Amino acid sequence: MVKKYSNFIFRMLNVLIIVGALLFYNYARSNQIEKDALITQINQLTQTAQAAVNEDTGLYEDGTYEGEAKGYGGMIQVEVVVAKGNIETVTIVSAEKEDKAYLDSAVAVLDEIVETQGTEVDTVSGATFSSQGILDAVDLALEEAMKK
Amino acid sequence: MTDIVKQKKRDKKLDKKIHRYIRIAIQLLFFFWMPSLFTAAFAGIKYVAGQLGAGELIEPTAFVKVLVMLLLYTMLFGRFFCGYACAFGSLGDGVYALSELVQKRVKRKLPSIPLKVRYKLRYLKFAVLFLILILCFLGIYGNFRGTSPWDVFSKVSVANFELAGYGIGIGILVAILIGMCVQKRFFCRFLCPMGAVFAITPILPFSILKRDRSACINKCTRCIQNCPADLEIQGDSPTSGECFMCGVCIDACPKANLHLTQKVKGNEIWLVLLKAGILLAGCLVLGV
Repeated sequence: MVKKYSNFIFRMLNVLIIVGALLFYNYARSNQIEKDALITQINQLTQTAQAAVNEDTGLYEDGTYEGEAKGYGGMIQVEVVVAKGNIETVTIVSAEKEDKAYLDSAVAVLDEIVETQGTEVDTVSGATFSSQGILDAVDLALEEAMKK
Repeated sequence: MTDIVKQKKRDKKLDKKIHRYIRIAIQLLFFFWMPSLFTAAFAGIKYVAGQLGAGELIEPTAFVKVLVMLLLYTMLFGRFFCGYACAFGSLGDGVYALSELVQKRVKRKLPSIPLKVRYKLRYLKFAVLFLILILCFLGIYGNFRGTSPWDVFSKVSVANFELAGYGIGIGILVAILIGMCVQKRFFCRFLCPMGAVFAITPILPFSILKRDRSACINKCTRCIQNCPADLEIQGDSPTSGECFMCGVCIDACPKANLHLTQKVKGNEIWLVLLKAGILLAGCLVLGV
């Protein structure tokens, strides 16, 4: 019985070991990351306090801007909202020709754009075309938003 | 008496035809509806390697979900995904069918890869997988973006022809297409890194094809000759992960000697449709 399925049993054991190792890795990392997050939170608080002092020093003119650029399968349209000179939100208006799994991964760049207040961010690996398209579209929108 | 034998033969031929057409229909459906499943799943593998290398958390991204779904599916049903749903596998089948047709028309045969070499080339895909995993782990995979034949294929398949910087990728894709003309399932067997992962995935024993050797006609090798992976069907074995579950051998056997379990052969129409339906449902739930 065991011999008949030895191949299956051996592989199943390997899978369990790999999955277990990955879960343990994730568990250990998330503990570490939680600690790090606390530290950055404190840093951020001091930064916002500083930003409040010199308000409205952002790069951009307040308003809502749109941009459009080519992604993987077609055009991606984005909307950038600027408030108090800073990028407040970036949303995707339409991306009909993008593959859903890819677009879902690529939207991670949106948060990074808001965080860094620009498009100098890494594309999402595995979804390079879609995320590059988003960045290009945001670039165009920001060009309009640049203070003259 | 002979009439009954003839009738049986005719029935068998018809069955074979129906099975073939159903397979082609399912392949076409997935090819046009979900052409990016294989790249999405492999992006999951690359993502995990990259996160491990960078010391980042592995999160259940869309890619990881597709990967886990396909791995679970393959554990349950064998590599039905490879045989029936993978767009690149279907491309290989299409190219080979076309090449066979042309070879018949011009009455010339392309040279074939010797069997011994084919058995050795099987291991090449593990090297491809390993190489890509290392590059992802080190975080330098992005530097080799223009070398991926899959990127070129997926761009061309949505009529996106902006291929500047993809010279190497185009070259590799052309080489693969030539290989596909020469050898059934050339890419899947020898090069596919996702196939390498599936080939070492544990498959539930009742989803692996078996053969009752004692009932075989002496020296008949029709199942091996018809197998796109040159497999000697023998149940759970180190090479059973190479089987694409295409089911061609089941129809090729003159004694109906290949089967999954005592009662189920494996190419029943209801079973094939059920497997395809489950895969489709899985994809739709994930919103791929």
